[in-house]
Amino acid sequence: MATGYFGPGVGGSAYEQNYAKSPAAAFEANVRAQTAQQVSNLGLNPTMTYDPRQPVGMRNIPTMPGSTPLADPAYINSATQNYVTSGKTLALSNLSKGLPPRTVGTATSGGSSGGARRGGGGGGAAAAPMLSQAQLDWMAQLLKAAQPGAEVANTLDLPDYKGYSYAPFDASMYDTLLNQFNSAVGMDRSTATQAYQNLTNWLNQNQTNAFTNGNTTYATADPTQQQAMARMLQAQGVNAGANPGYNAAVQGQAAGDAAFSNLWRVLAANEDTANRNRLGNVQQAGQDTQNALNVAALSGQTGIGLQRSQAQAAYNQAVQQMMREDWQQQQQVLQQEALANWQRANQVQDTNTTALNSYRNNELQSLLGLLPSLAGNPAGLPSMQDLGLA
Amino acid sequence: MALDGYGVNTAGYDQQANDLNYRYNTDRSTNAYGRFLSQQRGSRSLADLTTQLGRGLPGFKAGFGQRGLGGAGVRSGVMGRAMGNYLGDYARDYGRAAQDMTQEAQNYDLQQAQLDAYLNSSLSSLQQQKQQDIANAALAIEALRPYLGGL
Repeated sequence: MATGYFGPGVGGSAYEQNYAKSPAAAFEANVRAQTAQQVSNLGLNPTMTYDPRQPVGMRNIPTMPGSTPLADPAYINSATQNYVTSGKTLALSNLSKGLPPRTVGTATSGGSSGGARRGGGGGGAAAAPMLSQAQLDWMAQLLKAAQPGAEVANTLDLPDYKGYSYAPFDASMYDTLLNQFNSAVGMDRSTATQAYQNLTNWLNQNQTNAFTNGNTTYATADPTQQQAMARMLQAQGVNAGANPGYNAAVQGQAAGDAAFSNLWRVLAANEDTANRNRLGNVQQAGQDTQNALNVAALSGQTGIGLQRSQAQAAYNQAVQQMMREDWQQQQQVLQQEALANWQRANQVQDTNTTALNSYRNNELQSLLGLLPSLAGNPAGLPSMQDLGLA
Repeated sequence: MALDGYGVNTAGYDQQANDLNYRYNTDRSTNAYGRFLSQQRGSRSLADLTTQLGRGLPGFKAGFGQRGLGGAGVRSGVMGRAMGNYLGDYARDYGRAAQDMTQEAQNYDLQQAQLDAYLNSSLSSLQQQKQQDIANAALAIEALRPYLGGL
């Protein structure tokens, strides 16, 4: 969009676009168009139309019969009434409407003037003083100096958010509990082991076999008796070796002793077996107890581990929740900061725009008020840049 | 941890061991006395047999002399046979009596050995029970530790 007189973004019309290229040419073309329209509206035969290129002076201003010159302040005021008194932003279309061309010629209607002239005319007013070039330049400098300064929006910069440092999960309690449990398990294990060791030692030291010859002996036939009997028989002329009675006694005694001896050995062997079985049972029972202790220890350790895992999971979940809430709060703060800065920027921009528009409106009003002084003035008009309008 | 920490009272086991020893001692004493009496009876029997032989043998031999079957320089088969039978019977009876006495003694010895074996077995079982109770108490305590809270 062409940059128009009224700032960037303004200038959608063809007149404003042309004005951007050449303000003077655009203004002249618009005035000529408006003049022709006014002549047509009045039904007049234009014999002379207002030529904006000609210096505007008292002597060159074609006037209508009974009308006042173009330099009449009343005429100027009435012509610019649209944009001076409305208080609106100055628009080129309003400007052109405010300055209808003056036409010269015999009114066919013969009626009184009125036409495009607005407002009432009065008697002949005093001519405006003519300003010198230096005065114009000085006034231009004044007007430019009166340009309002732009406000600067101070951005809101809140202190940088510092995240909270969450303490790590404290597993020392579970470590302590596990250590205590393992210590207790070791103590229990040693107690059980020591118990079975004591039993083994006792059995090895105190177990006896009542049927071994080392512990006791059993009665046996006295061999001297048989020898004495044999001598007695021999003394009586009886052959002991051939005597049936004697032989029966001897054999009977031998058989009895043999039978008892066998019984004794069987019982001794049985006792040995019993002793060995006791020792074997002790070893087996000890191993079984150790296995049971291992299972109990594993169960306890697993329970502690599960409790620790559950506690840690709950802790992590809570920390994640708090971190999320912290992040959300942080985002809210940032959003508030950005919103405040945006609002402030817009406010400052609006203020600056309003101040600039007001300044330019006032400046234009002042410039238009100088038009009577510029009529027939050979001094050069200040540029837009000198006036601070570009 | 001390045994009392596991709730094990070993005094009961010691009392039981004392009771076993007491019973053993009484039984052993009784058995020994019975053995003595048995040996005494056996000795008496043997002595009686010997006395009987001492009293009867001269008369038995004299009988053969009256019949001219004995005496100095007489060798009689009848007498020899009779003497063999007589003394053989005596030897048999005496041997049996001696064997009975020996076997009674052996029986008492067997009973004594069985008392010894019973005491050995009882004390071993008592000691085994004691130590197993200690081990089981430790095992039970360990199984309950996670639930008791205080380790």
